[in-house]
Amino acid sequence: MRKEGFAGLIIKEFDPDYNLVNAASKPEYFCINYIEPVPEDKTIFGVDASSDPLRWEAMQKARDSASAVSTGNVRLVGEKKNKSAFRVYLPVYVNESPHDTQQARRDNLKGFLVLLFQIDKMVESSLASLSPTGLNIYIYDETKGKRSELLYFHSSRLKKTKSAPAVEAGQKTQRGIEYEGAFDAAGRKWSIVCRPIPEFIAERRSWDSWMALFFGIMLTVIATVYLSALTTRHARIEALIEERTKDLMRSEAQVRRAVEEWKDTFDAITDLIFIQDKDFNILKVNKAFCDAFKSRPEDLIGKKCYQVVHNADKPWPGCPAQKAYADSHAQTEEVFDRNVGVPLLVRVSPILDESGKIVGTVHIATDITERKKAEELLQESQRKARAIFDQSFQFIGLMDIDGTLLEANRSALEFAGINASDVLNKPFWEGPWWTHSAQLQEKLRQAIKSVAQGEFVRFEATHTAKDGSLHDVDFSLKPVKDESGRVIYMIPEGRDITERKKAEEEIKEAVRVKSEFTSVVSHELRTPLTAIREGICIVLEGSAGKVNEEQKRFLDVAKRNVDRLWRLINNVLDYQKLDSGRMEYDIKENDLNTLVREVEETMRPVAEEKKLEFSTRLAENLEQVKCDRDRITQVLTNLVNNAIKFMDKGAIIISTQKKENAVVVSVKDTGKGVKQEDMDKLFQDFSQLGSGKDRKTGSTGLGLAISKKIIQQHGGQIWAESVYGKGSAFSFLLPIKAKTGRGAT
Amino acid sequence: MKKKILVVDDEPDVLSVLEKRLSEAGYSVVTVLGGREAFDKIKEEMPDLILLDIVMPGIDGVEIGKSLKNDPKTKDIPVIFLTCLFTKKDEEAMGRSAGGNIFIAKPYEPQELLKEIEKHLR
Repeated sequence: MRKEGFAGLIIKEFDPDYNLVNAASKPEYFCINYIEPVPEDKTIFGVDASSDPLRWEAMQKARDSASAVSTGNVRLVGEKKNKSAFRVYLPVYVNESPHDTQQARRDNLKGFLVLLFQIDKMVESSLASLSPTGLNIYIYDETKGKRSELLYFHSSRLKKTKSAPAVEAGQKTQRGIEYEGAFDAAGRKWSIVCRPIPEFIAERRSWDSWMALFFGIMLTVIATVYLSALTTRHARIEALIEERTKDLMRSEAQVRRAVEEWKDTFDAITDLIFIQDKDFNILKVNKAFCDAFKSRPEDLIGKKCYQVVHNADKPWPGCPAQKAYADSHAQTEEVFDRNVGVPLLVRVSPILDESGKIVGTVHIATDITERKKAEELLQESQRKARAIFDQSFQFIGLMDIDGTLLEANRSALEFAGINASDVLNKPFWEGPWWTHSAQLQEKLRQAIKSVAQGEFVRFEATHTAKDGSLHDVDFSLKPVKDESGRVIYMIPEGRDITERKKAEEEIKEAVRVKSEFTSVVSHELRTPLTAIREGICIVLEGSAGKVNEEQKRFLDVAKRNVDRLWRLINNVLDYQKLDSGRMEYDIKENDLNTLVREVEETMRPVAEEKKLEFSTRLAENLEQVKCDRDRITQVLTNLVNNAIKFMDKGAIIISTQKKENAVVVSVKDTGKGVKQEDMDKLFQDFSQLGSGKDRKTGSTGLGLAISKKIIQQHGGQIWAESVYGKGSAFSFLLPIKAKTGRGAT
Repeated sequence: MKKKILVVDDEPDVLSVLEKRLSEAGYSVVTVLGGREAFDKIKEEMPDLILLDIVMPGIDGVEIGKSLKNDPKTKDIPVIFLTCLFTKKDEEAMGRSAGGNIFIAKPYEPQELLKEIEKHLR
């Protein structure tokens, strides 16, 4: 009660003389804590009503019966003596539900609603309209016996009566004319007695007897009317009591519900909420706040917010509450404190009193870790995108569909030596990259029109660099479409290909020169070779006269070396053709077994000359393979020739076999084999294994390189296996469904 | 009666060995150095077969061949192109003259050449 505005309240009680004294210590007080209307004399608050035996009796009865019970006549504190009043006690229980047993009613009693009726005021207001002159009206509380307690006495207005009601009561039987009515209300019996005063009768004594009768009737009417007024009022009191009681219970339930709802809401909010006074003392915290600081509300309330939140001994410098105090407005700030550990969005709203002064603040803190993370990710991805855009070697821009340049990357700007502001939001074709050529500008404008229709356009252009030089640029313009396929932007891109173009030109020239050179060399070498060879042949044949043995031996040496030179030229030319992709193939279905037999036939004399065993192992029913007969024969001859050349004794076997969807041809020998470290070099250009006296004459070093190219251009594979000292196997594979070689007719 | 073979080449050395080779084989041989006067000489000699070099200064063997085919007088004389194959010019020539002509690469194998000549004189 002290909290509710009764500072310095002391509980008082009545002594037997109805004087207020400080209350003795009791387990239970029934203090007056609310009076409507508010009385001027505040001493009545805090009076323990139960200290008055009369009231206590009524209260107990009310409590046990769960109904309204009136006291008898009680005296009012602060009122003059002789004022009669009664109180109606209406019990209020803790729970709204009805309590059926006496014990339950006692246990759940919360207090009493007390209605105080001052009888004189009440009756007089009731009778005001009746103004019964010459009548004395008595109201008795008859609970303890017939007319045992006079509560009210209304004296006639004909004559001022100073006599006590008791005197009147003593006359009651003298005249015999009176009316009495009795009724029950609020647990007590009441009676009302109406009696004309002697003067009233005397005044009318001279009247005829019918007048007396009329009087009697009139009296009855008056009394009845009065009684009716009184009972109506009584009923109204009863109704009022009931209504007020219901109201009270209803509003109390509403308040309780509202409080519970608010508390539930407050605790259900996942934001951290606390209320502090202006000295930073925490007044209220919600559940989320308690959870965040792993504390119970009672551990936090009363502490300084900076102690709890920031683990500091003075207000946190970044605290938005300080600003709220400064300008009385709500503040919203992102706050990060190491002690809290997560970024928070803090909203501080000031609480103002009636005069607009801040008395405290409400703090609502939202954990924005996720949002921050998302923001950082977004920023990071923007940084990356920007880096790609700006640091790209390419010139990149972004363009509206009408050709207005919206973005240009650093490469493009630096190339032309300009700032973004020089070109952005202007037509792209007016940019410094294009202005050197009206024709190019027109081409770009046409391209923009096509790209606006969704096409991709790419062409070679020239751009003016900042030093004025023209650069070749591989320019492209690509549409950017939205979900519905509408073109919303265009991406112009350019790549400086000046160096590449120059290099390409150089390569083209080099290729042309090389080809020209080879042609010339080929022709210029072959022509004299033809004459030399034919000359030697004619002499060797004896057409130009008899040749002796020694002459023949040296002419043979000369012819052999001319042939070698011839092969070398042919190999070089073959290789050059294969390398430049100009070799033409005559691709037809061929039986590789037939090809092997032909090569065997051709090469057998050479092998037998060196006394080497020579045989074939051919697979039966071999499928035909699409290939150039002459070129594959060339490869096979080369392999057999190599085997013969590098072997002094042993055997050579040519074999064919089908392997999956291909035919494999192998040439195996029992020669000295190839060292493992040399295997990689076998198919390289101009490579010959061995040197000095190991090196066999008649080799160009191009045989295997040419073979490899021929097989590859047939879509096949060629490989070697060897065990050094024991022999080698060179094999090639041709797919049965051969790819046609490059340049095939 | 010996068959007459006319040889056109811009290389005197090649002409001299061919003349020896073919006369040894029993043919009567007429050699023409270079290309310019070849066409007139052919009409004058009316040989049984012509060996024609392709790449020659001033005139192209293939052009001579075409002229021969276009002339009713010479169109039936067989022509064997004797050429340094593999040169770009030769390849172009082979492309232009597609249709029934025989090509033999220089340096040639004497036996292969004689076999081919015999075949076309029959």
